[in-house]
Amino acid sequence: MAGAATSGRWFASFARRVTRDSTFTLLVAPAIADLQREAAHSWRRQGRHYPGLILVLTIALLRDLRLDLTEPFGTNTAPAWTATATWYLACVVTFAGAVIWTTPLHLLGTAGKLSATASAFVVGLVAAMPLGVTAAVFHLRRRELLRPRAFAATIASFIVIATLVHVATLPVRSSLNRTTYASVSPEISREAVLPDDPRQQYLAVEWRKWAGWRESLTSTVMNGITFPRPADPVGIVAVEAHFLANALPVGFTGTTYAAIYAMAMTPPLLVFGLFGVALSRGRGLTVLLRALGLVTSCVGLQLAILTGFGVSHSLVVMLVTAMAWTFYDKLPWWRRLPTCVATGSPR
Amino acid sequence: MTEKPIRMPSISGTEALIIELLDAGERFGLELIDASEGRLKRGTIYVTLSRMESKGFVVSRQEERPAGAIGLPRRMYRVTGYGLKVHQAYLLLRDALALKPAEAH
Repeated sequence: MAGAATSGRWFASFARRVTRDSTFTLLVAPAIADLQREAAHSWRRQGRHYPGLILVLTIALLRDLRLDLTEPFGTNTAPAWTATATWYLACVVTFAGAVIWTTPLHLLGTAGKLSATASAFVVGLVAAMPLGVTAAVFHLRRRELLRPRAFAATIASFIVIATLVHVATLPVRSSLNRTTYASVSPEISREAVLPDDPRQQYLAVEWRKWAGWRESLTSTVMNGITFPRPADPVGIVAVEAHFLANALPVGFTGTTYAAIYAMAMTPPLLVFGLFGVALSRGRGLTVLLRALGLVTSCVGLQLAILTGFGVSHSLVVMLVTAMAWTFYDKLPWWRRLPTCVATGSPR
Repeated sequence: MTEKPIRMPSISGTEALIIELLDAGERFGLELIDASEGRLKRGTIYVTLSRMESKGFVVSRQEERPAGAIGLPRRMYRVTGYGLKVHQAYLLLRDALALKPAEAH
């Protein structure tokens, strides 16, 4: 009879880790309990039970996935979404403002002004997505509206939504870019001739000043809009490794498959989602310091890569940031350092 | 002011069969499979029972076991009064729909 009880023990242990408590109790555990009774009869009967168990576990996982995906959009989550929407709109306006600030509207015709402004807002909508994801996860977690196990599915759904928004706005952005391009004065170039009339010379200076912007616009119109990428393959590996290192210690599920999720989904949006998780674990000044640590660490890493320092310098940047946070805290250094290296922020 | 439409409970053929089998008394999943003589499958019985519990057709409890027993406790299922009523209505509807127009008078 002892053999009967041990049958399916590993299966029960695995299922308990990957399913919700209620799903395990009501759906998976009864099937395993019956398997353990079957084992008392014969191996043949027990063997017939395993395919059924796998089917039950698959259905249980799909049911949990559905619950995980719908959890952040429940009726009680409205306050979190209101706060997220406020943050997101503020980010959209900021990014759109930054794009307009770097656009020579005064050198464009009426159609060009309209299209450039509209394009700036569409760019803002897309560019604000990562921060919107951070805000959403932060507010959902802070208000305890999201179970830890639902983070992966939630962030994955945000990634899908953000990617769809990005792809859906591509034709609009391309069309607006073409309209702006048609409105750009051909004089805007590095080779703008300096007029003889000294009163007109400032125009040529202005044309030369915006030559880089025109070249960038031309490239976008000719080559299409592409996803931003780090400068070199080594850089990509370094960034991904850093993102992965961020993902592991956060422990959003509390089980080892957190690592599998982290490895499977390394697009930058995942990182922003995990930032939201990490930030939500503190209050007040702790949140501010943690955000500063994460941002400094990532910006430092990106700068190191973009300026061609390569992976060794990138690692130095990470370590320096981590050391700074290590000495900030009051815990023994050997307890803080691993987390600080991984997250770029104090515990 | 229009009245809110009443949501009719739905019951599948498998659910009706389980209620018939549970009418004899409290049973666990494997017993139901054995009693169904091949009509219920191991892969679907637990999912169906879970769904029926959420619909209110059955209730379940963990079996009582002696102290020190190893392994997971089995889950025992029992049909509710509501489940029986829905089942009776289902049988009436099934019989009515099976009638030919001439037999209905």
